[in-house]
Amino acid sequence: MRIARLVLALVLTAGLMTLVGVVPEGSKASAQQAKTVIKFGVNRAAENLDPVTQDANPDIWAFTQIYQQLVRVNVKGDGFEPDLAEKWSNSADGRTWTFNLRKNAKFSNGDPVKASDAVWSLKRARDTKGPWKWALEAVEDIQAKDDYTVVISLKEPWAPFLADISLFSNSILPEKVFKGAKDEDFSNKPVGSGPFMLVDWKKGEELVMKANPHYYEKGIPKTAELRIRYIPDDNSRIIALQSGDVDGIDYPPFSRIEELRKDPKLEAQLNPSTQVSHLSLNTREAPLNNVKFRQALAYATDRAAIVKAVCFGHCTPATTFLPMTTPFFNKGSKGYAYDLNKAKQLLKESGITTPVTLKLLYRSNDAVHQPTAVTLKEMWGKLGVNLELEPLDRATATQRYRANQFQVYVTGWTNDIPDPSQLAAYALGFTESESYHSGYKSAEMDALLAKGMREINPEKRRQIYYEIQELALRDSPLIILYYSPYTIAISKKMKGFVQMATGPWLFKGVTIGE
Amino acid sequence: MSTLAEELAVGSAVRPRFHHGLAVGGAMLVLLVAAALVGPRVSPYDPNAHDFEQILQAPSAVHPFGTDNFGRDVLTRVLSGAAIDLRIGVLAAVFPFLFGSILGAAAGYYGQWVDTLVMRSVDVFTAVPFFVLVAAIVAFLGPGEVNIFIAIGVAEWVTYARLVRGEVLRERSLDYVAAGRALGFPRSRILLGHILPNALPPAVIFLTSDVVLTILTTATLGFLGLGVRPPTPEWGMMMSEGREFLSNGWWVATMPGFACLYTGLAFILLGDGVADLLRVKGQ
Amino acid sequence: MPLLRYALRRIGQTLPVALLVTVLIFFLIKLIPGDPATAILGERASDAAVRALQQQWGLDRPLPVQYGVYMRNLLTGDLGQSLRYRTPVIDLLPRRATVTLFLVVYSMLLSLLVAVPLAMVAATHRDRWPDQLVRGLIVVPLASPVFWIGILVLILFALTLRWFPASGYGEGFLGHLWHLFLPALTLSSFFTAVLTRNLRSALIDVQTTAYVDFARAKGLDRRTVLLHHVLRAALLPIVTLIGVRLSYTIGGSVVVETVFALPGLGSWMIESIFARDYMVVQTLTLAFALGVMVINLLTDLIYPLFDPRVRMG
Repeated sequence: MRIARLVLALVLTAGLMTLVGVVPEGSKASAQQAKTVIKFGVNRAAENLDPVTQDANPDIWAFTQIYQQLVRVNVKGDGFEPDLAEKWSNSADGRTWTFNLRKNAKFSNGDPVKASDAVWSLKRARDTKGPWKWALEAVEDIQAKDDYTVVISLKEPWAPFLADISLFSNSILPEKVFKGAKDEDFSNKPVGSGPFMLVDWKKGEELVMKANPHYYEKGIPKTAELRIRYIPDDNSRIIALQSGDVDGIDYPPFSRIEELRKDPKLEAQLNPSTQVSHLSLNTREAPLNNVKFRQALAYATDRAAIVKAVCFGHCTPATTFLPMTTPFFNKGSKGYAYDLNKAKQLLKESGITTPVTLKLLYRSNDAVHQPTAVTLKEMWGKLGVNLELEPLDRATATQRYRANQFQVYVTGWTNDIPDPSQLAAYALGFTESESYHSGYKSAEMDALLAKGMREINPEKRRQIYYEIQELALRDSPLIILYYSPYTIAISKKMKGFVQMATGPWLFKGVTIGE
Repeated sequence: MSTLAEELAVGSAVRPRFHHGLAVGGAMLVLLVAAALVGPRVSPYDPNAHDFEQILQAPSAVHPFGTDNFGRDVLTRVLSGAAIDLRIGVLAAVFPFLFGSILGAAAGYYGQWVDTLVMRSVDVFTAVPFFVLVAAIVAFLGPGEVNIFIAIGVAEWVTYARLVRGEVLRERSLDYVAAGRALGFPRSRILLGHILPNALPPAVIFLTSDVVLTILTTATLGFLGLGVRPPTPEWGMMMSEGREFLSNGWWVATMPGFACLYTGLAFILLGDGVADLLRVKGQ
Repeated sequence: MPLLRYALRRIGQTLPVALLVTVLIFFLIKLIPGDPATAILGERASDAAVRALQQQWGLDRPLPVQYGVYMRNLLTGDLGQSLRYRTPVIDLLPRRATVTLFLVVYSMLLSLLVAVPLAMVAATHRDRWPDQLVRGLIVVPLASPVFWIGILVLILFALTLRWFPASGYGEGFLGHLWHLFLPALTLSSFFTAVLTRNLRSALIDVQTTAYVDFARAKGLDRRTVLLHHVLRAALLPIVTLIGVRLSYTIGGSVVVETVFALPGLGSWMIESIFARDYMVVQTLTLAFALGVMVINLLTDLIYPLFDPRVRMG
């Protein structure tokens, strides 16, 4: 009896509290904060904010609010701007670079940014066995000539050096804070000179940043607080934007862009990017070791159809392996047109008999890989190639790919530096990744790649990279699919949001209106 | 202590007036199976044929359930999916039923070390959240129908084992068993001939609702990226993939959802009817 | 004290089980291809970088050795590091646990709040239209995937009506209640359906016993009889049901936590399996196993309080 009453009482109380909870104090407070906080919803959570050891976009795009480099890539992704260095020059022989630091930059703890900090940070970046070590491989030595001058000497003249030094892994950290610090502190307690500083981090939930009081640009950041919220489900993230819970989101699916454009309160952005989607073919074994077969597959790929199915028309069918916005991208290259007859012709010439079965490996639960895979299966089926789809979770797929245990792999690339050398070396030069793990090895290509790194004259360099692009098309160890923009959706109240072509967001100029 | 199985078994109505549950549920299922067998043959569309001129078309005379984001006919896919989901649902529920019931009966009847072995194994498997265990096993084995069967089977047999064991324990203490032993009947005969027919009904009833649970688990696996391999027209995958298009193509995810509801209703009615039929002793 | 002895005996029996579970899960997860270094560094990092990280984290040693290290650390109270977040697991656990427990208890209460009146309506109008309506309605959550219900709930309440926020955990107790209402509602739907069916059946059964006839003979009206006597008897199976469902619900919270972006244990567990964040998986497995043990023990102890006819052990 009493127990029944108790249960009923509890149930009624819960019900009452639920109804009362409909308008809690929290909502009133957030209405007042609307102008002083930027709330941004993202589909992947940041995990590691240490510039040298991280390797994921969410990490990079978060800590670029906190850290600066000597030189930074411009928004369009085709040039460089001063960051911590006001001006820079290199010697006549191209082997010594001098950077003059600005004198008013300060870390968020109040300490001025000195050349010694730059030297210490860059040496750490060069010496740590992290994923970005390659960026400083050409560096011989790093010295501080005085408190505000950094001198970097190279082993040989290096064409992409400025691009390399602008890489986010070469951020400048305060030596005093981090010398001898534990690994975890680099990630959990970042201290930088950028417009924002980290105030609170609920892992896997939300990053809270506030304005760096010592940042040298007056009036920047325009909004004092930034919250980056992890909302993994696409539908939920869009609903959070539409209902005003957040002011902007990243990666709305392509299928929702038109609908978001029609919403009068929202703005859907397709920002130019350095993204390219492609297939890696394992050329070590039959039938993919047959170049005519690979060319046949390339001709049998209807890129326009893929763009329709995967991007709902918002991507560009690809021609060469370089992203469209990369310097020395060959705008005149035709790439592979969709020509089923030519594909069948090449298939006959290759000597491979149909039907032939290939396994297509890709990361499951990826919004673009799955439709790409399904579309390819249908397309290549017309050629007599039966694709068996193998969706695996991210870690398993990555493991298989790295171990070369695949036949066809759906993947993509984003340039981190505005220079074609990063991708070219990775995709076509055997040493770094066995050419995207395809096993492609060509002496001719290796020679061209080496020349491309060292040729200082831009016009000559351009010709070299044009040749590289053509050779890559002929040998076809990769099948290039499409170039895709970054998708972003923001409230019209959010002004001043910028996304760089290399991907990072810039929040320092953002204001949230009424 | 009652179990998930018991809660679903007991929840069914036990009044004689509900005989029609068996008929209605059975009829719905027969209709479903017929549609699954005949539908894809009769349809003018290939469930996997892309048609980029017909992306995300609303339901119409030409496409009664509309088309999806590849231009595939949703009705054909739902009908093709019926066979797949019924197969998954039934097989992934029947094997744990058989396996679990045998083990549970043995544990309940023979007791002692058999009981300890089975029950401790049950404890081990219930100590991991059901869905996490299924997901981990599928991640380990890789994608595909067979692996999903295995994963669900490994996680689900414990429910049947516990249920049947409880029933066997209850039956074992009844008078007729002691009488049988006194008369010299062999233990196996008592178990198979008398105890099991009385102990199995709750497990059978749970089986009917387990079929639906299995289809739902497969759908949730699809949500996490661990479902059947595309382009298999499995309802759960269709719901999971289709949820991206709720605002501009609600039919893509909703039609398979209705199919799921229909199947669920059929099995629940069937289960209620079976419970009604088999339950004689008031509880 | 027989109660204490019984409890201790149960704990003694189940601790080895909990340990066995950790062994199984340890090896199962480690045997899935891929490791955290590969998962974190991704496709592009050099082999040297991956190897360096693997060595740093002790992932290149033989599995039994790794398990030994894990057990040794566990015995000294060190639950390990989340490799993904470079933070001790113990630092991340409290918030996650609070979120999930709040969610689960909230959803159980909502289930009771909805199921009890529904069952009573159905039972008192047996086979007439209110009963048919209730039984028809509860098929929906029984035959729909949770993520489905979650999205529909989101669209209706968060987007169209704007009554509740779309995601997140909120701040302050009332903030949590507000933010967690939709997720709790979603999570509770299956259990509500099951509970309604069960309760309805139990209510119908008890209604016709002599117990009730006697009360009616005493002159009490039908509704009073139902509330006082019948409900009390029917509460017995509910208690055990809640005990069982609690463990299913924690596992089932994975989907709800993902859809509503709640930083809870369920989604953390699944994310950690995908990220091969081994120590997190181990800790959560152990915590869950122990939790199930405690819940089972509690329900077995509470059961006789309701029904003295049942003896323990």
